[in-house]
Amino acid sequence: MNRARVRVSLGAMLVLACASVLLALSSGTDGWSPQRTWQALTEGRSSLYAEVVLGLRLPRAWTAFACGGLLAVAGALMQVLLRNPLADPYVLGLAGGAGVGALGAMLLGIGSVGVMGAAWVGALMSVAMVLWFGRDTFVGRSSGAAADDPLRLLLIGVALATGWAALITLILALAPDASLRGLLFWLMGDLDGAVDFMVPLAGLIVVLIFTMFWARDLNVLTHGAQTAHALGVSVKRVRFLAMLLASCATALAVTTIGTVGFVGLIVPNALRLVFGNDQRFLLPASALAGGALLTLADTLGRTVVAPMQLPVGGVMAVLGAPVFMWILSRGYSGR
Amino acid sequence: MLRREPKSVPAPVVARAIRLLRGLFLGVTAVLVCAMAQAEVSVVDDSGKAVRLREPARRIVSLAPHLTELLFEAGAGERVVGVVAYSDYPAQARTLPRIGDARALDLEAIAMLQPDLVVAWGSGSPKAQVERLVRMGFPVFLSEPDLLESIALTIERLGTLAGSERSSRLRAESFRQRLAALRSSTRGVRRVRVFYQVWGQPLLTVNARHVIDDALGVCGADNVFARLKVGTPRVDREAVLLADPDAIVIATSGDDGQTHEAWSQWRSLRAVRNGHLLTVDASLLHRHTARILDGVAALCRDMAWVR
Amino acid sequence: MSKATILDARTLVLRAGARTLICDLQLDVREGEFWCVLGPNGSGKSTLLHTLAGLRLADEGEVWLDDRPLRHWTARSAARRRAILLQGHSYAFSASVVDSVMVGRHPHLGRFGWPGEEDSACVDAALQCMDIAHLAARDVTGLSGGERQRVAVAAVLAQDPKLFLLDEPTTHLDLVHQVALFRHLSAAAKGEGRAVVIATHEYNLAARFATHALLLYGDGRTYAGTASEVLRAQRLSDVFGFALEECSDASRRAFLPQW
Repeated sequence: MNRARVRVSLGAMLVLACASVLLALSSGTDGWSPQRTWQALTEGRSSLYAEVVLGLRLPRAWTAFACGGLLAVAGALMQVLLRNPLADPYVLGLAGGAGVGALGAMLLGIGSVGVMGAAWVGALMSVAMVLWFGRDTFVGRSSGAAADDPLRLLLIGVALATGWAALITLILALAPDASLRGLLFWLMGDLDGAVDFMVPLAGLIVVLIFTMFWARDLNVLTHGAQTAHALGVSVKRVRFLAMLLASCATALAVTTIGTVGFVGLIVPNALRLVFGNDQRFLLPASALAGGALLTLADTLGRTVVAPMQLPVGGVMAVLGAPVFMWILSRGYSGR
Repeated sequence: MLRREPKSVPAPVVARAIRLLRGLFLGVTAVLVCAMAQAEVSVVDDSGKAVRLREPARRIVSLAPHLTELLFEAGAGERVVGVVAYSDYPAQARTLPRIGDARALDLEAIAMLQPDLVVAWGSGSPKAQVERLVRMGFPVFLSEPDLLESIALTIERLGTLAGSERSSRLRAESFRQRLAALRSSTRGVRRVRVFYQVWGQPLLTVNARHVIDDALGVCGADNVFARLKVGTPRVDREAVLLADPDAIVIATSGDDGQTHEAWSQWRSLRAVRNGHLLTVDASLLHRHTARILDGVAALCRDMAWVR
Repeated sequence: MSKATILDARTLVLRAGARTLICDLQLDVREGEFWCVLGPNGSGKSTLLHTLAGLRLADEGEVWLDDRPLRHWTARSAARRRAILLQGHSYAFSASVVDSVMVGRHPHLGRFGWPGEEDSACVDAALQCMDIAHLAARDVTGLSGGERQRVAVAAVLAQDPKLFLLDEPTTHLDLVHQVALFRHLSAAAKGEGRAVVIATHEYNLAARFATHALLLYGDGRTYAGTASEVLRAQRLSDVFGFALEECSDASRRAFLPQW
């Protein structure tokens, strides 16, 4: 990828992202109605329709976009950190930690703000545990065998995730029926309650800016810790930052819309297949494409069987899996 | 019309007639069989299947809280030997042995109780386990009330199976009278368009094939999502706003955090402007027992106020 | 001996677990020198190279790069002075050959810098040198072992360091490319202010091209000196534990196993 091609490709993705948000704004239970939407918007926030567009569709579209972007960026970072294309934002058990936190808070009957806080605490606890058990990977000067093996980190994460999942199963088994619905709903992930879109959107921008500082270091890191070290990368610092940023991005997305899968795994891999593995392009492109995909999936989910809704994760997988298969069958297209 | 088939579009007249005939035929058969063996009892349950017992049941296991309550209503309370979690009414039910909850039954415990009748809830009891009980040879009565009227019917049928026919008839009759009184009180009034919120997150409502829809109808209200095909559909908030109902009714059992706060921000909504955000007692309306009429009566009062 | 010292190991001790691999090693690599490190498997060749590159701390003693101890160098400034080829380089993700070689330019670019003319020239030269220019657009994960090895070496060449540290660079390479590589390294060592240290099992190539050699016995003993002094049949037989015989004519010298 050279600079000119990066600019053109990112520009095209930006257009795609804007189109997805516009589509989300103009689609609803009454189908695709750009004229009605435009009228409502130009008339201001007086009519009921304008209120629907500005009060419901707009925050929902931006939340979907921001969280899709956060998850895709987090996925791309995790894949580099673990040198494994199969990694996704949840691979180190972060979603499980958030889930246990949120479910615990729900069981105790704490309000929605408390649930969100508890989810954050759970997620951070999970991150702290990964950092502690995998401390050789992140701190210290030596680069012994254990420090250079991302498999070890992966193993820690998988063990943690399994532990959290078991805890969630236990909580669900012990939960009284009345709260079960809310618990399951939270685990499934959803955009229905999305109102406060500024926080995830700001989070996405901040995470993206931070990652761009170390984007080329991350490129080098994909060649292995020792090679990266030999090439002048402060491996542990970059790993720590990647871990921290990916965790914050994932935690932000999970606490906002719950555990939505697929986007964090597929979007970076698909982009990598088409455009190559240059993080300077891949990270912003993941943000745009992931955001567009989640926005699109959510728009479909709430219009296809309107006025009912389909879960966004399911729609996205149905939408994305064939596309990914197609990209995969085309194979790597080089630079 | 006695009942509607669950999980299908409202049956056309012909199908209904056929089902009536079938019921009649089964009824006639039952009468004939009764004549041959005095003690044998038989009813048709809500899945259309005949439940036949050689003699009235003495040991009954109930797989749903509302069925426990209906068994007591039918005068068969002392014959209930096992119930599921949350069987909290009447008070006697609380002391009965628990054999599981809505998610999982303790089949072993049920078998140990040696029931001669198991009463299950079509859409609420764990299906695979209920089928297992059928295979194990226990007579299973499936209940799936979808109209207020079917509650009376279920009381009668349970009474028949438990050999307490007379008292169950009386209860069913008084239920029908009270229902008729509620119905007549709203005859000719202006219909009110209502969104009924079963749960807030996710946003759940009911369609036409649900007792609550019937209750709304009794009170002269129209459910805005009656036409949806799913029984308890999850709907888009936007769809509620665009439907702009006269009133939004939020079901709550008091301590489940279900409030109308989420709606009050939409000032363009007719229901918000006019202050018609109402709450109803879910523990009454969502449990298909005789007490549901208390809930319906309250709902009717609310609807009258909205009008 | 007026040439400047590039790498200086002082009373170096390296251990692996309880074993002492290298004891009290003095190594003075000066510009223009081409060192070959020879020794049996597990004798500490890789450990030594890692230590000389600063990827690993010495258990005792100190390594100096130019005028100061290696640990006083930042990773980035060190990367502009020395390059190391590691063993068993693996590619986790698909990438084109040219991008994989361009990675070697990393230490020379600013945080937001994009590769320029000079970087591209460096990469092109490295590709030419390793005879992989025709593979430039190919995906590294689809290459053969020997081709992948040449990509990894090319990345080190593109890094354009003063000091080359290569750990068994001829692994998977055919004879033509082995000789070409040694020839190139020998030439590179003669460049201004440069030096080369490689770990290898190719004692014949070493005898042909190296200016200096270091033998590692694996039990702490080492033997360093000029190639002509160190690379003798007796010493090599000793260090490998396998009898070797020296054969030579007017212009060539080689060791043959005695079997």
